[in-house]
Amino acid sequence: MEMLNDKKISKEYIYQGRLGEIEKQIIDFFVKIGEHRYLNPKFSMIFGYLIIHHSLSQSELSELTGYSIATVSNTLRLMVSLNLANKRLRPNSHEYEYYLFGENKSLTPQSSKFKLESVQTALDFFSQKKQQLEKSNLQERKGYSLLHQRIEELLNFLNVWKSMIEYQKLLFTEFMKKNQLSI
Amino acid sequence: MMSIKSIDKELAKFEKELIEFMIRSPLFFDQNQILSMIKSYFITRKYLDQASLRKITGLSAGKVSQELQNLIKMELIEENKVYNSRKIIYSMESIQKSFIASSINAVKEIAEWQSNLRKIKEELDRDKEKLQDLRGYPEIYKIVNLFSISLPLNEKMLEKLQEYYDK
Repeated sequence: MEMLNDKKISKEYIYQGRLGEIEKQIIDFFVKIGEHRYLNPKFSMIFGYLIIHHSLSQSELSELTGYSIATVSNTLRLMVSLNLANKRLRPNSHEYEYYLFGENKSLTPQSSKFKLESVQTALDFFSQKKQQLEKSNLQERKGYSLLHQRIEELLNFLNVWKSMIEYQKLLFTEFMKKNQLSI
Repeated sequence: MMSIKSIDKELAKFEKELIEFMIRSPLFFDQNQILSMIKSYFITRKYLDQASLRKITGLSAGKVSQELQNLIKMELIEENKVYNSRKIIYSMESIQKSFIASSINAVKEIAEWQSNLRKIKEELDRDKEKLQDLRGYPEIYKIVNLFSISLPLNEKMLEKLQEYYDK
């Protein structure tokens, strides 16, 4: 048992004592933020560990999070497909390590870029659907005015949301510059 | 007057395309697809009750009830008791107000956590001599510092969100 503990302590990515406890609190914070953005806790946890450690392998993430390799692997695949993370071969090893896309740059402009693209895609889609609805022969059908009104409302909201993301991006960029920070 | 409106069959097909888009979009992405689907139907329908939700989604009563409670907790929808009846209608009156109210709630909660992280930063500064040789000190310090000094950003975001909410 003692040998096992020694082995665990010797691992570079395992933080000891009070720092280990603080790390868990930071991860809880990421999970909380994620919940408000409707993100799966697994996603937020892995994201948090990658921010703190910069790069980690699947097995290291599995040990830190307590999730199986398969769960970690699926979540990382999702992050890579969303352009949030990437992988590279670890030097002198056959193992891959994962890191957040845009390492050494501020993360928020990266995620803002992704959010802005998502809002634009939604704006394009709903604008096209609104036109399609207006040109259709469904105007007299039950529920037409409700659906039309809600699409319009959604388009207004998406434009507001776009402004909010742009504002957030600006605030964060200025903040990082002022404090000479990078993640 | 709060009332649940039914939708013509052809329009329901059109609506389904909107719902499918929202379920797949990262903007409306949720912890689970069922929650995303119910939320999306509130975007298109405004008012719904449990029975109509069960009918349009094909979900069980238990599942619908559970996800409605989640949406209420997120402040995205409201529960309204119908006068002189046992009926309950759930509403997302304004799409913009609902999503912004939900974000305000989130930013406030994040600010509370950030002030905890500020306390942790004070501890890391105070006990530096004891902790700095432990593995992970620079990494932990960097992130805790970032969160604690970025509190004013949250305050500015909150102001902006409130401004849009009041518009």
